[in-house]
Amino acid sequence: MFFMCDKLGRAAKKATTYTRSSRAGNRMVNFLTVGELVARFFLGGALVAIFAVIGDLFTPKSFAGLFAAAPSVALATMLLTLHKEGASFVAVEARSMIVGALAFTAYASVVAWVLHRRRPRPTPIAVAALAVWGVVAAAGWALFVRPL
Amino acid sequence: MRIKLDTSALRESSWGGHALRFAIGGLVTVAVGLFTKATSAKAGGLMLAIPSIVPLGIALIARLQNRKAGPGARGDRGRHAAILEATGASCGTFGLLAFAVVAWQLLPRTTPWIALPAATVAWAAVAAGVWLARKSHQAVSRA
Repeated sequence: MFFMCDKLGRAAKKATTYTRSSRAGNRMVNFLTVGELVARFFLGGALVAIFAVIGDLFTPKSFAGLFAAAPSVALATMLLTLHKEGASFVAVEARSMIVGALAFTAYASVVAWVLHRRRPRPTPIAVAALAVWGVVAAAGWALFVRPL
Repeated sequence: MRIKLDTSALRESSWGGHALRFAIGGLVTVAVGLFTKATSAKAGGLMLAIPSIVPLGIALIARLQNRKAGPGARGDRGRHAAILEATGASCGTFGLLAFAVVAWQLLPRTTPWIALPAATVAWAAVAAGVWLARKSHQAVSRA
């Protein structure tokens, strides 16, 4: 898989179709080529789907739930960013990810607790609780990440 | 409780569900990349642990289990499955924490081809370890 990612990253590097609309648009996708965006989409989607299929294979179902917190988006992003920005840039991202992961713990715990105690419909709670992730991540950003 | 491989669950899951996971996973990865470019590595790193796929996973598993149980169950089976999914995910987040720490420490010191697989192994080991510890704690509490 890592070999495949290497190929994808190189393909993204070769593609040089830059967006040339406005100055703001150029700033936004300054180093993100269309090829790189496509590579991100396919690699991220593939890793998420692969981890989900692996999770489906396991019983009991609470063990399969571990794969809902698989580092699929992180792996795809890191693999493609390494080619452009280098290991030190990705290491900084990984350090911030610690706070994101703590926010994820809060999110999943809140969802499990509310579903257990209040017996609501699961999907609206799982979506609404994303606000918990946002609040904890923002607090962690302000307290720990930003001052670094 | 033993961990087993059960391929019958694959027959129950729909291609539409997998395609939806693929599409959302891809879109989130693109969005994270754009966000990092628009802000910084420090801010973008937070988004690497966004629970993007959990709401969809919960929706799909609840719908599947409710369909199996029929209308008389009033959504109890789906809710129970969603609780198990969220509980498992909460154990998995400790693995995600380990992934981030190992990647942060190893990336500047070794090649990425060692650091990222090592971080993935750390995720799997810590997530499974936390899940097993939780299960054994529950068993002791019941006894």
